Amino acid sequence: MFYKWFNLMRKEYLLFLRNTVLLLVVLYFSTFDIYQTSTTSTDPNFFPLAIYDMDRSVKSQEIVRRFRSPYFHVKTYINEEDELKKLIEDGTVSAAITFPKGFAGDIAANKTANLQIILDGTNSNASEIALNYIHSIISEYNIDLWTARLKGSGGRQEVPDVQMRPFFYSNTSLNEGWVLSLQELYTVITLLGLVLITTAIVNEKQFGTIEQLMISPLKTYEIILPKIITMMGVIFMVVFIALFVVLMPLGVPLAGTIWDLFIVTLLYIFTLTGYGLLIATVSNSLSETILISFLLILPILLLSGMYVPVESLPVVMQGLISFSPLKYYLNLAHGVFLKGNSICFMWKDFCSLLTLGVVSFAVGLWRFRKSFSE
Amino acid sequence: MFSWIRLIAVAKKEYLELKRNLLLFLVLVFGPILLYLLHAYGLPVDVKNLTLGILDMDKSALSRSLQDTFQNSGIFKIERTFKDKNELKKGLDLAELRAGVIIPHDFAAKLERNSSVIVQALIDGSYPNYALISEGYIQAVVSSFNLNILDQYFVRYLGSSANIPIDISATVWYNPTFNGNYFMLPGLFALTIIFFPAIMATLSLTKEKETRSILNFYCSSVTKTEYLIGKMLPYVIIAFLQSLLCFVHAVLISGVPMRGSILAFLIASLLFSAASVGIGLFIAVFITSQATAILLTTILTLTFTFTYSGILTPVICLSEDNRVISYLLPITHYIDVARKVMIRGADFYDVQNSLIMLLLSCIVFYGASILIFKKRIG
Repeated sequence: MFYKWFNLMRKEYLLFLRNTVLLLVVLYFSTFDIYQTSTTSTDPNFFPLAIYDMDRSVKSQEIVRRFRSPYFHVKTYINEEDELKKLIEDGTVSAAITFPKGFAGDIAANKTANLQIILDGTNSNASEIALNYIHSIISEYNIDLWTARLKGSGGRQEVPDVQMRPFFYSNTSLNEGWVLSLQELYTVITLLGLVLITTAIVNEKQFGTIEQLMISPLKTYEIILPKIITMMGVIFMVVFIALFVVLMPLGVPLAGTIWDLFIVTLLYIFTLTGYGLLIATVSNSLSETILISFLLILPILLLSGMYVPVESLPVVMQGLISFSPLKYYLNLAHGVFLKGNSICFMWKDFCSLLTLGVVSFAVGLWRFRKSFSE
Repeated sequence: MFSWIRLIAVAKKEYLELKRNLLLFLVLVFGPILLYLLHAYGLPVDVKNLTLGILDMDKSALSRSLQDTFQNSGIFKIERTFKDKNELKKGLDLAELRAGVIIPHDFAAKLERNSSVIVQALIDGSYPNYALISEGYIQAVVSSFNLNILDQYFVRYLGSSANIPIDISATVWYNPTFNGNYFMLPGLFALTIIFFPAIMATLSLTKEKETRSILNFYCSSVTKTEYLIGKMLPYVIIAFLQSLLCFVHAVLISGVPMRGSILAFLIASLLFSAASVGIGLFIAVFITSQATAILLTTILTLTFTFTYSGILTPVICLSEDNRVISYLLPITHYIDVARKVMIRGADFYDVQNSLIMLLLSCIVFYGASILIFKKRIG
């Protein structure tokens, strides 16, 4: 029996290797693609500002100095109201801060000085976050002013004050390149997992070569399992190469053990196979398969937590996304890579992923057998 | 000789072939709409409900009031109470928490003695974006708490509350209530019509190559221009109609305004539909195997789209180098036109540069495909 399986696996393997272009594309995915992603870091808080300082005082300059990276980027200083309007209208800056004449004078006279801010609401989310930061910067400045005034007048040296000390846990330097390359790795595994496996199965259906296999003295599962095992093997090899890229030239630290990472990744590939099998049983041609896979791939990639936090999703969506294997794999792989967790420690996520995998695989296999016994 | 009749005939054949495969037709037509609706209602426009753990070692009225300030910020969701630092760290390790705040045991005592007290914030750094946002919000909450206690301090020692030195008056243009749909939905139009048309175009050509039905064309009198454009035409039209459907949903149901030139939007939609089909075509011309073509199309559409197109992060907030990449992508220009026309009320001339870029990308994709495509075997 083993010999039979071995031969079938060899057939699949050769089929894969002889498609040179596919091989090249897969290699590109696992090396260059990941490498390139890590080097282009995105900074979503790089909010461009224009400053219109009519006051030109020490105070206004002090405030401007507090609008600094990583949240803000002071792009230009302007001298006229019209200019300000134009900059926001053509989208060169997303906010303009105006210091009216007599700004510092008001503060010195114990009156409330007014800081005028114009925000571009087109980028609603970024602008709202920016406004929050501006509020927080001005609050801090207010506190400083008050404190200084108290110290100056009353002779009191201390005022009550809560200071926040942030400490970044796990990825202490907030290295974005590491995280981006890891996320690209997860994306690559997800894509290859679903696309390669469904194609391997459906291609034979489409070309009718599966009929040849059906009349051979092989049972249905004996046809499908070697196929799946080979593809899982291929994907695992890709992951292996990609891991090498992630660990060596990119220098992402692996805080946990490599075995945990392998087990978790193998489980994820297994789960993807289950999903691929399910899709493959629904459709007859490759086009259908691919379209249906993409109906799944897009939400899985976008909503599993890489681009928006899962807890910010609407409740219904949170329910749906708990069927996304990537949600658990993301926690597991990030946990092993960056936090040094062991699988036992993350048993909840591991069991959820395992359940998804076993159920989808079993149902997929069962449906596959049914579709051929008819 | 170029003939419209033959081009239309090819398009008709492609459409019939598509229509007679019912499942495929349904997925192609309704799949993108489904995705659009899924994301229109499911993709959160702002980061909220960040899970926060608070370790309160003080358990005083003041520390409770700080907790309430976090609770009322609307940004954080406070998880259960924590007993010690290790439990908090475990929560962070398991990704149950985005951040943890540790209130020291002398919190109230120090504040009542009018001195400074340090509150530590442990923030999960494994998602740098969320970490920075969390940090900013925690800082904002702490600042507003500080303003409050300072005000009480003034009342206690000076008899009256003091004037706030600086007050902010913010005006938000185009979208005074920060309605997230204004930003998100015009971006989703593009997401809706970038994947399926491109992949369908790829599949339709590689399928003919793989099953060898392309030989019918090789020995017919149809020229390659007629064949390629005719074949792509149904997909372009479907994509265009889908973008219109999304547009109607956004304007009529989700209340996104339409302030500018509708003509500019229509032209941009048509050009972008053609461009995204063109990407698929371009790849299919080179590649025979379907699986390979799909993977390549995915790289060129999917992986770039999320990061560079401006769907999630405004292009203007990207760094200089990344903005160059995003400028080269047709999707960036389409999203730009959609947002500018709908929200800012731009007219045709305001967005003509983006329209030209879209037109150029169409010319490049189709021109190169037609040049490279050979009407012969091997």
